Amino acid sequence: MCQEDVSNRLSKTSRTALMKQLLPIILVLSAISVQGCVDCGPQAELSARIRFTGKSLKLDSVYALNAVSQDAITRQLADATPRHVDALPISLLSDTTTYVFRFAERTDTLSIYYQRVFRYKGGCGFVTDAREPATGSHYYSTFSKTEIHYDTYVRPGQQPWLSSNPGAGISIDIEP
Amino acid sequence: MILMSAPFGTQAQDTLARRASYIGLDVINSLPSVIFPKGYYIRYTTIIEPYYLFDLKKAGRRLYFGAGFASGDTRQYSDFSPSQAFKGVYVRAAYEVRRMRSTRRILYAGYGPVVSIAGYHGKYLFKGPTFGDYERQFRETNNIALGFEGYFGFDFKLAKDWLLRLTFRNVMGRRSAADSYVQYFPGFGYTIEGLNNRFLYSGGLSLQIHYKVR
Repeated sequence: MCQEDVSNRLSKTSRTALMKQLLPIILVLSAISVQGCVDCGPQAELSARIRFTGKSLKLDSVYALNAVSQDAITRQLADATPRHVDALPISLLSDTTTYVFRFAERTDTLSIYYQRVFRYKGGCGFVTDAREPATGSHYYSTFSKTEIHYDTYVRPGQQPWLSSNPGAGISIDIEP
Repeated sequence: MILMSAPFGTQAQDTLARRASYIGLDVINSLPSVIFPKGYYIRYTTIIEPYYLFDLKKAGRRLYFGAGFASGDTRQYSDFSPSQAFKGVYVRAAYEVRRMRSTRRILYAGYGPVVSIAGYHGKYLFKGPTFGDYERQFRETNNIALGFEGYFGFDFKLAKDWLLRLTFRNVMGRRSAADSYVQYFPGFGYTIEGLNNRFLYSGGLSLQIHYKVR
């Protein structure tokens, strides 16, 4: 969505002698650059970030329940003792997703709860987001400690051109 | 009345001073959607727009009434800006001022209200490679829009009783329900995406053929 070359063009044109003729164009371009860009979010299957704290265990596999394909998860588990999984997909079809973590010596289950949002956003079309569930628990876990943080995937308002700050989404800290 | 039209000569008396009325039909509105269904912003769309024009007592002033029906599909831009199937009926009226430009060509400008009742629906899709795709329908029915239209254009005299009207129009308005952006609103046309989905703005070109009935 961001077009950074606009600001480059802006500095080039201001150097030219045809200031007067270019003034309206500069005004339009600066109006665009002030506006910034819109955060549309992933517009795809959302994913949560997982970070392991405490002792590191050898992780054999992560298995998502009700998944049609585990490829996106297994691809991220090249490391035998990962400290984090960057993009664990969450289901677009349900407000809860359950994962089974198989370690060398134990097996753990993690269910996360969220509230899916599908809405129309100007400049993006339809977007998908997930937020904290209004009622009920946030997770079910057999790990010794689990923390879940909710953040939007689709940041509202205008994002500045150079320091855009897209929505971080759901992140989970796990101590096995 | 004779005094006013005197500078235009005899031809002007025929076309500006003498009161006439016309019935007309929009002729190209839906053609591009059938000829270029892939490139144009609407596809296989039926648009029927009959018109009735009649001159007022005052020279060079005219009232313009139009009705319309439109039914078709918009283009699919992405899974998130999907094709919308729309259907609607509308009426418009305008007050028009005319100025002679040559014996065969008359410039006119007008303004007036547009009222439209329409509905549209479509499907959006989020691909879910891990858990499966999410597809849902969105639908608006009995969406009422009220607008104001301004236009200018040229009348070309084709034959004794036939008139070709080329109109450049701009229209803005507001509609009753607006959960999602509407790509094409019948009676308004292709709408520009704004800050507020309720607000409709459109502009365009219209080519009409009119027949003199009186």
